[in-house]
Amino acid sequence: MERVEASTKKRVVGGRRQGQASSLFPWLLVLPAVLLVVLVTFFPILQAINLSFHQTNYLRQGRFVGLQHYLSFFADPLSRQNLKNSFAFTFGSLAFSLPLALGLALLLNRPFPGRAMFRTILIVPWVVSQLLTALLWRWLDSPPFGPLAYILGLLTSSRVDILGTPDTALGGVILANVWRTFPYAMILTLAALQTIPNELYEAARIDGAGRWNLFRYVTFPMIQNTFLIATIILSIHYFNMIELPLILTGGGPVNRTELLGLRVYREAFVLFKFGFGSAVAMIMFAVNIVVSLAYIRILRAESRY
Amino acid sequence: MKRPSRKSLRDGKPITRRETLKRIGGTAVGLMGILRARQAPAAAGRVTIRYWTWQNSADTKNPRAQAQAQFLGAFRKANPDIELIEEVVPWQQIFHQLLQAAAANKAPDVSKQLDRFVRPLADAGAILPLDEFTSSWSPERRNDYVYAWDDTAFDGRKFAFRHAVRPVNIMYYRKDLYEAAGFKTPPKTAKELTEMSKAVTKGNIIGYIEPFSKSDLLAKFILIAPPMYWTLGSDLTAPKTSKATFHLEAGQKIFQWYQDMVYVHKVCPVGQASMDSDTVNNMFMSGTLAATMDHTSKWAEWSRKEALQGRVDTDWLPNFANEPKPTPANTAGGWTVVMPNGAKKEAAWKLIEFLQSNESELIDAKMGGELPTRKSTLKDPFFQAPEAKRMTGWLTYMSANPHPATSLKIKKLEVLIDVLADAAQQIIANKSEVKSTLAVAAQKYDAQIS
Amino acid sequence: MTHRRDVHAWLRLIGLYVTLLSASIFALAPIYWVINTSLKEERQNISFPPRWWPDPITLEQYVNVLTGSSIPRNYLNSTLLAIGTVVLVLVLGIHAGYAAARFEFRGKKPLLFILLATVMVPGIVTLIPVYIMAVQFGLHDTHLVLILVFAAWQTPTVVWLLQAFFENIPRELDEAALIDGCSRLGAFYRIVLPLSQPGLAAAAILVTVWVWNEFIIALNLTASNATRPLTVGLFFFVSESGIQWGKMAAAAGAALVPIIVFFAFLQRRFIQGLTAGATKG
Repeated sequence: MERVEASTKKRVVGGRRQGQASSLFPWLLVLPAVLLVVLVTFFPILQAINLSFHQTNYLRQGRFVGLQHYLSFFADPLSRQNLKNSFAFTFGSLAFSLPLALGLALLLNRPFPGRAMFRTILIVPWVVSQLLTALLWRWLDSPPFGPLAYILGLLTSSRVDILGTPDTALGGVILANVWRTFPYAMILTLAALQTIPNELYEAARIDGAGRWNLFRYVTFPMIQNTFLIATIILSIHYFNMIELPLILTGGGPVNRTELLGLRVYREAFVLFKFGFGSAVAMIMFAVNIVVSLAYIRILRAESRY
Repeated sequence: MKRPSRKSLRDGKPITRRETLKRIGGTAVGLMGILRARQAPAAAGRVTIRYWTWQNSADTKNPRAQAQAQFLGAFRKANPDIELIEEVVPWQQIFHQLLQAAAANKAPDVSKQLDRFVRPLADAGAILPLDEFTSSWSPERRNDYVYAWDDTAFDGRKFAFRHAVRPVNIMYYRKDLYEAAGFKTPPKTAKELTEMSKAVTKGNIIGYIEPFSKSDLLAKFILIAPPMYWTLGSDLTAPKTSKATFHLEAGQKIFQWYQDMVYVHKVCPVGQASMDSDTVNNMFMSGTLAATMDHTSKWAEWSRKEALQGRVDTDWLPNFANEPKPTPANTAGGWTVVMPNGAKKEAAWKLIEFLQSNESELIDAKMGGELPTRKSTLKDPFFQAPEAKRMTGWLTYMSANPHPATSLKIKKLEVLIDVLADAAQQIIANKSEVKSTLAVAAQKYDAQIS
Repeated sequence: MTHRRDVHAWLRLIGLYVTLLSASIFALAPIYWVINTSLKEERQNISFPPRWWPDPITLEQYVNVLTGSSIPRNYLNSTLLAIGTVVLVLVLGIHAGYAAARFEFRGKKPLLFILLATVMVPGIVTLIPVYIMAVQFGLHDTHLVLILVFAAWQTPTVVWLLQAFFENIPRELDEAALIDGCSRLGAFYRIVLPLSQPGLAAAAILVTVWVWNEFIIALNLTASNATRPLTVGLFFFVSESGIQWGKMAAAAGAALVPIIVFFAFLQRRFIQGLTAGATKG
């Protein structure tokens, strides 16, 4: 009797058909993936940390300088500008892409003729690379031949140079960024919306709920989690962005669009200061960790619903 | 218990997924095999060398590119045992790409470079000295150049040869726009440039723009800055110590002029702080800009453009000391050829030698409008003909107004460009105080060259 | 009463279409402009005011791009890189995803955490050391190094995605196969994997789009046309074209059209890939 029970138990739990030896088996399955990721991601991080503590001359590592690079980063007024730019860019982009995504997702939720076509069209920007996005928007924005600059010029009867004017340049980058990334949040939100069963809406309507209350008490709570995930992923993506601003403005004018990632790229690959560049990259990494941990806490709190 | 036979399992979908993956993998391996076969070493006895250039030989609209196609074709004909592969790398990227590739031992065998970057390349150990090939040259051969041997030599070692010579402080101006504003002759001093630009600037048309974007490495400004400083008796950096001198009195005058052109005379747009040279050239061609400084190599292309026929002309950089004297000629800003790695030295040297040959330079002069680097080339009757008058005029100016090519000896030029661009952008876009902004920039530069 | 509701419904429908139309114009305008520019003759591109449609339409710019540049070679490279990366990522991902979905083992949580934690790492942090490592191992400017780096970046997401798909397949199917004498892996390859075809397709599409669009890693890890993908080729071509708008636009169009067509045909799977896992709970 016991033996039969034992063997049944073994089968049900799964993965323990051969006792101890089989706990090696899942490890073997996971190991190659983990090894590759560790080799290309974690090991280099350690190297980067090491580099950040040394002086470098082109590709040669020089003497140990401790925290010198970090200190000179914080002492540099440009660094404050970089941080300001990164946060302004991130929040500014979220402020436009999230409502846009939510609004469009709500519109696309219910079937109507042409819905599939609109949905396809609205996702297209997401498949365009950051490089292409930057080129497209640079051409649109550059006076006097760019159509956007031309239209704005007509409206304000003056020469409008969005990307060349220090106060509006970041706005121009945000515009291009929102264009490319709103579809991501829209698709996620739409998918979540589609999982809400109709009965919930019916029940709420029977109880006399108006459109706003429907949204507030039925729709939003159901998509909250997904919306949060989209926000997290997008904000990390925005904070770490390099290619779009690099090609769109190169960080100018007057460094008003130089995000932190751009600073790292410029110091490392344009000025060939690998040690200093690594230090700034570590600072970026630190911000990422802090923000991600904060997000994880929020996610855990939310999912206790 | 009945076992489902292997056959019945296969009848369903089961194995296909893996097979598909295998098939895709097989295709990939096959494609890579095809690629490798294409790149296979040249037929027995042939050496393959790679040449980096920013001119695209397939570009039929660009006279310089066409010239390149011709003289490279002549090289191939003269050297059937060498297979020459051209790779186009844009001039804005070619310095950085070469540094990276050289560090990884994946550099091409010969590369064209902007001559101002030869020093950083030599300092980084990315290019090889050529003395072993030139040590056997006679003194006449060594002196056959219109520029000084030491221009492209550092610490006594020769690292590059000029591919063309360009007195770069040329001013291109729109005759039609100046005439419409009542001016018959182009400006000769900074004051005149200011006056005339003011008169021309109205509506869509702008009198003058200086682009200061970092993305093209200050391509225009770095050409005219040295002569501007020289006219005022100064320079960008001190030749002996390599330390910054661009922030001293001369520099302050120059940048104050730029600032005044934006805010006092209201000629230049604030946005010029982030414009690049392509944008400015575009405006010039489309008739919305009256004047721009550039190098002589643009003439061949622009003079042939429909839109500019009869409307564009050239003169010299206006004198920034407001004296009725010509500015010293800045012969830097040309391009050079360098040898990055040593794998195929002999074949690479053959190409470098050919590019300086009379034959090659003549093609470049006739088709591409480029000035030759060798005096012996100039003896050709082509340079006596009327069509070469403009070109010989440039050469005469060069020899009449010489100046040592100090801008080629600047240490860590990429850093200098970076700090100058930052300073210029602040002075122009933020209207910051000229003296202190330049002082900060000078400090930054000095800190990084020690 | 009904009449007013009808009017309301009509107005809402019109409002819906107007809003969606405006959003669509926003989404497509830049793309339209590039195609427009690429089909014009060069001199029409520096006309002021800008011309809103090409007249006459000419394909000369595209011919120019496809015959007089390295772009066709760059296409080949991008295709190779995409295939190579997808293969590597799927091979690694299906095994890791299966292990994560079906097994509990010591160290599972930290291992998976390491995998997912790479999302927190900005790419630029590792680019410098990866470049140096590539140089040291002599792998700079090879397809191999790009495939390895790309695969490393995409594997965590794909593992996460596939784990979700595998979890959706009932364990009973595995068990049935085991009872019938299959090995653990056999059950996986023969039963579970074929049923996860949607997940695999979604993963493959996501990875392909990402690799096709990747720029900065390729820019710094390649040094010759033999390895440069389309993004870098496009960037160089645009820098080199200076102010020839038509040429630049044609190059951009040549890079844009395939990916949009690819997406249009496979959008269902693409969306599945994007949303898998994110809508859990």
